[in-house]
Amino acid sequence: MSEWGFTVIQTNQSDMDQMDRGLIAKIGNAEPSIFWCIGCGSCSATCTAAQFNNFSPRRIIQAIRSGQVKDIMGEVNKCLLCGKCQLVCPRHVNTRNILLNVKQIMGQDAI
Amino acid sequence: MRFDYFVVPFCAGFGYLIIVLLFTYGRWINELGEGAALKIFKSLLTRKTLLASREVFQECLVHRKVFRVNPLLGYMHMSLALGWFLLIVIGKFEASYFTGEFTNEFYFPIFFRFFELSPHRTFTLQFFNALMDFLLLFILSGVALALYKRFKSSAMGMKNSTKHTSGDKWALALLWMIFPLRLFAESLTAGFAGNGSFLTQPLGNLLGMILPVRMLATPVWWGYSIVLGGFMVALPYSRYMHIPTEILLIFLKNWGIKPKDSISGMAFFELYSCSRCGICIDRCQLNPAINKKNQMVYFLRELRAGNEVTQMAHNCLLCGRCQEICPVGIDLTNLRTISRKQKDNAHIHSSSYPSIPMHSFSTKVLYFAGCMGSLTPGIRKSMETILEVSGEKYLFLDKEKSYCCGRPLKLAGRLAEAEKVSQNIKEAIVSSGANTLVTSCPICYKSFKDDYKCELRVLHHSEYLLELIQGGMISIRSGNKRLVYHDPCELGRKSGIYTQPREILTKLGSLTNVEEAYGKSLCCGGSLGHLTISMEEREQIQKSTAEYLNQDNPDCIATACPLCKKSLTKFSESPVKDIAELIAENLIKSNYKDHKTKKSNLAEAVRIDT
Ligand code: SF4
Ligand code: SF4
Ligand code: SF4
Ligand code: SF4
Repeated sequence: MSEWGFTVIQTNQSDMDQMDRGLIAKIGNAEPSIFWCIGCGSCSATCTAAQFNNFSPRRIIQAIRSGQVKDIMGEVNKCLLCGKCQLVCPRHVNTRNILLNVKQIMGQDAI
Repeated sequence: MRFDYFVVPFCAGFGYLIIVLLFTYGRWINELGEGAALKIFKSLLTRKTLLASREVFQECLVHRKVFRVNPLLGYMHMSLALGWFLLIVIGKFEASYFTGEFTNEFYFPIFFRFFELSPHRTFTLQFFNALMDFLLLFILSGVALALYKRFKSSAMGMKNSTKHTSGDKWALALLWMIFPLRLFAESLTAGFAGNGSFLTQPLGNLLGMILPVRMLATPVWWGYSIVLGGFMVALPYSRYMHIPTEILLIFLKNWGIKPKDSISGMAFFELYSCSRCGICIDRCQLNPAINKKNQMVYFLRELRAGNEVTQMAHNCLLCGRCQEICPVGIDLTNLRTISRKQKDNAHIHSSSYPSIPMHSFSTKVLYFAGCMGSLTPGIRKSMETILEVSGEKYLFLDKEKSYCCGRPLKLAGRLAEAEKVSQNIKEAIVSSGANTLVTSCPICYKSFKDDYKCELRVLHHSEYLLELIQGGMISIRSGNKRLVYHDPCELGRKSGIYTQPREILTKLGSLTNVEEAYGKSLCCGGSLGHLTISMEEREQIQKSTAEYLNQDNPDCIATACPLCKKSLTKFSESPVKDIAELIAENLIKSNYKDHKTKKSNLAEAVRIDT
């Protein structure tokens, strides 16, 4: 795999008991295009932040959709809102707005 | 003392207005921030004040910028503003001349014809009289046009006019009633006293034939006074607050006061200076795509009313087309951006953001492709080719990994985060020791230039390439292709770079002009300023802009922004190319040839070997 420039990432099993539907309800409302994501990973492949740390917009989207939101709150601050992910997304997911919404919700929780 | 009870409503309204204005402006001036008082004090007796006064005359009275939008619309605004102003000033002179002393009761000039019943004989007084009638006629023509505009705004070049609130409609009704009432009051008095001029006297005589003018005059003067007073009471709560506020805004702007990054102080002066003229509405490309009352005029209205505006603040491309045409010159995109600001930067750790390895290099030129430049290999490679041919030693700062300049975060209202991100890059730039920073991305250019405040020359590649051509570092073949240039928002309107790209293009081919160019240039639809817009809506804008640029079937559409190139390419019939790509294609590599052939011979040899 590494020949193609990919690496294996950790398996990510969802614990259904830990599911938190709160965030997807809010974000799905604000940016319904989150449901169009097919998890192709194009966004993460082009992501600016991902070149410097292990940030992945795809992983964030998957985590929100599967309700595993515990860790993404700290994670999402790494996003620079640069918009590259959105330009490459084959499904026209408005990734930037999803990430901005997570940032905003997180900010509200902080107050 | 000349007095009659009917002047009381006018005096009360006037007094109320003055108190409210003093109180309001006092509070805002207080909020201007430290240093503002000193700045004002220092500039008070300089040329700036003179320039501001001239601007007040041109914009608040003559409405020069509105004339540029549409002459008829300009005339309408001018007749009301300049006409009313002159009516007050000349009325004052007339009254002073008549009484022989400068000071008189402050309401006396306004109700002059009520108090001065003798038919005027001297030439000067007749002249004054005629002048006052003329001014009244001038204003009334404006009121008639304004009425006409209500029913048919297209007659004044406006597809959409502002949908006003009922409060504004009441104030408007009061304003429109003022001058016809004045005309009637003066005519009725002229009907029995003979103190009118070419307009009021004949009308008075006519009315005198059918009406008991002597009896009717006083009630109509009452009406005039009540409407005037009422208008002044309504003024601070209606859009007409722009009349006094705009004057102050122009002075403050000229004295160098800038809005802060919150809605306070200067931002209030800007908000209340909006006359809700609605000129910005037609400029907004979100009109067809998002059919909601969301253009600047409505946004400012909601913001001024203190309503929740976060949604509205985000629903905007920040393209600046409205700002370019706004006759008041309000920094509109800034107001939207600062309204996006949220109180949520508590979680930032600098470790979240990429940091750039710092080196010191011997090169004088730094090249920064930017995120969007990195995502558009054509531009990046062209720049590499050109720079190599030119022989300039340079460092490609984001060649391996692309960085974000921080402006997208800023546009999203996350100022503290943007600051953090830019800090990293700034350090890398400064420590490199270079003296010129060239970038391909107008978004980066804007932020390097305005926000970074580094002590080095910041150039967009169109500026830099022109320098290379003019300095003889590179030479290009001229062709006969028909080119159309698309001004990117962030490069043109936001940074004022219009001529350099065009100069390069005229060397490359023949440049045809489209109507919506320079400051009026359309947004490509790719704007990073809008975060919530859906792809369908984006595509509508991208499509219409691409179609517009293709109207004359050019051989190529040239632009100077990777994002514009991406947006337009999707829907354009003719190829869309960045200026760097066009230059790279037409580069004459004569002095470079030997070096290059050697290299390719080498490559050839290697290929044969394997
Ligand atoms: S590129 Fe689009 S579809 Fe693919 S993972 Fe990212 S958001 Fe989902
Ligand atoms: S907007 Fe955020 S997630 Fe998307 S590419 Fe940029 S840094 Fe990555
Ligand atoms: S923002 Fe400017 S153009 Fe728009 S309504 Fe207000 S004054 Fe007129
Ligand atoms: S900045 Fe552009 S999108 Fe926003 S209101 Fe003005 S014209 Fe419309």
